[in-house]
Amino acid sequence: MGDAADIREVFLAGISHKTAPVELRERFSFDADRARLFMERAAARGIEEIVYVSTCNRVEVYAAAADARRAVAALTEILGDFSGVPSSESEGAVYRKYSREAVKHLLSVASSLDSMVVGENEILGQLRECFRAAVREKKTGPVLNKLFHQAFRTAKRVRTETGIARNPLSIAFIAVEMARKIFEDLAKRRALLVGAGEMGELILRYLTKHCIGEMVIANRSLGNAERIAREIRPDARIIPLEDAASAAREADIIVTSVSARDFVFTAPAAREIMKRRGAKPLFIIDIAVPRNIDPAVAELAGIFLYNIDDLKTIAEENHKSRMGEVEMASRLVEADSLEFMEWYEGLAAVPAINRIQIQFEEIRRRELDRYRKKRLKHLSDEDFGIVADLTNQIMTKTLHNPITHLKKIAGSSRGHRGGRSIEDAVRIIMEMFEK
Amino acid sequence: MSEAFFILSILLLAAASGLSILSLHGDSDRFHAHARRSFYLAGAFFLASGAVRYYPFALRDFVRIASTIWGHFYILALLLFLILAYIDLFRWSAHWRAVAAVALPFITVVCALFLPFLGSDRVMEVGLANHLLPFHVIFSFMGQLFFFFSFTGSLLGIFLENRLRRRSSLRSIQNFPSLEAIDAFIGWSLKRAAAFLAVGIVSGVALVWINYGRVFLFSFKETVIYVSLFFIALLLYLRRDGRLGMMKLNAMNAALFGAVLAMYIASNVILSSGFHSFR
Repeated sequence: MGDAADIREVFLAGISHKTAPVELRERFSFDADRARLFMERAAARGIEEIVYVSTCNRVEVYAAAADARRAVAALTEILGDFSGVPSSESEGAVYRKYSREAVKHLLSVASSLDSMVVGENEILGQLRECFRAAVREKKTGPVLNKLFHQAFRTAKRVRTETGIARNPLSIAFIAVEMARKIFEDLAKRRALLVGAGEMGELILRYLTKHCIGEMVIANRSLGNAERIAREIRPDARIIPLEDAASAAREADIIVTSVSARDFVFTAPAAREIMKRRGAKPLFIIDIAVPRNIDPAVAELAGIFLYNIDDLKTIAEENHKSRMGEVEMASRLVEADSLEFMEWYEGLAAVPAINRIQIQFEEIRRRELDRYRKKRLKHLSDEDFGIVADLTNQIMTKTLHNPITHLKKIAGSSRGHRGGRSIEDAVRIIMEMFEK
Repeated sequence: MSEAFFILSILLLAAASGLSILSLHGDSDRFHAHARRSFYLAGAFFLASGAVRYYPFALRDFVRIASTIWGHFYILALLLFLILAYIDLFRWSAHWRAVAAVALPFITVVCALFLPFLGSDRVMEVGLANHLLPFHVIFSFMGQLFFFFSFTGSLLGIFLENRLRRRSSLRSIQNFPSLEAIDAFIGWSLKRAAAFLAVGIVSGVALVWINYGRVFLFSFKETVIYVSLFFIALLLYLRRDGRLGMMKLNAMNAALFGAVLAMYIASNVILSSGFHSFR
């Protein structure tokens, strides 16, 4: 960075689920090769740093350039070329943010505050991947490197210091979390899936992810059950639907999603099962509509029965609880974006600080040489080294306050983009030390 | 100095109780970390209050200390501290958060109840010159305290099962152990309660036999210990039998411990002037 005027400004242009439908978003979504070409073209147009971010809910381009307004115009043009979407069509959907707004936006996106499902975990991994791709292509520099690392740190803070990601929203995940509140170790438990519906399959995936000990699938079509087992749990035992009642006697978790007019399990049958189980609890998830399990089963001691509406209600409550954490998370994002802006605004003072340091260093060297030749020539090299260190320390300490002050001026003058205050301050400091 | 340390210890325990309840309900790891820190700091001040009061301590002083109203309480509270620290540092560390949210307020109340006896010079007329007494006191206390921890587990189990049956959000039970883990903790506590009480009773019988030539003096204290052991044995049997569900077992455990606590208070405080054994 040669001069204060060359300091790169951070900005972004993008569309998201909040501003554009999927039909428009998908046209801005480029594969890896095309994204690389896009960044190449942007670099050729004078955009010094660029990261192209594409997820299912957003396409955003983060960049840093000396002249942000001109760079945004260039970027819009290139985006139009690559997507084939004329600017008249995308204009209302594309948002542009500069400096602090852009920084805050990235930190919010990384922290999943701007996601369709607030608190979801995928976005951070996707951002990391997009950033890595830009780093591989050498399209990032000091500003975006620092900004993205700050965003990853903030996202981690938001996840650990708030409860935003704690309570699950997916029905299948809630079902498994409930099972984990009943059973200590799922690896020692047996699950029975009755009916191989889509939701049941999803629950089976989650149970497998949490290392369920044994899995039995009861289905009308054995072929379909075998396909699911092959894909998710190859060692699952497949049984015909008629054998589900006897398999239920050995199961700790039962998931039912079979289409049937009558109850698959009635209260007397469940009572029989519980007699054999003693005090051991039984967890039943009935996601079928109409329901497969007699509601009276829920009254039996040791049985925890959840139907699809129960799980949906919990998901809604969890969503409310996540939204309650948004305010705290936003405060963290605000604080971290301020911290980044302090560093970023301090960059404006770097050329001036360099000039001052070089000038003072020249004076120090000159004077040291003069003394070395005359009044300090009797000193050994070691002793002279100590004197040199001493002068260096004095210089560093003398310059500490003016440099800190310059950084503050840089921060306050950046808002009106003049840079005059820094120049004035540097001139005043120099005049004070000149003959 | 001992009094100042003790009061500091109570204040820290109160803070730890509040924080541990918040950490369980409020879903915050910071509250949990602060609760633990406050608990250990309270323990350090509690130890310091005893060290200042009883220094220099020799084993032969145990009977003298245990026979004072303050010393009697000090041993009880010290064992409570030690068991809770053991739960945190060893097998049940993952579930300390939940256990502490019930146990810490109880320890705080016990300590606060003994505040009026801080400078008391009331002494129990022991009259049992026998080395078995320290063992009898410690084992009996340990048995009752493990029974108390099974009670805390039962309260947690009742709350958790109730929330699961109501199908409420995960938020309120996020930091709870699983029902199975709570059940295992209750079993662990009850087995230790039974073992310690049995040894306490055997040493007590030997003590009474040596001193009086009898095995039972028909005192309230003896009765409470025998009843406690009977209750614990009954609970262990019913758990093994498996006919009662977790909820009923937990409710029964809580009720039986409540009965023992009521008997203890009745035999020690209400039946005569407060802590009538100490004159």
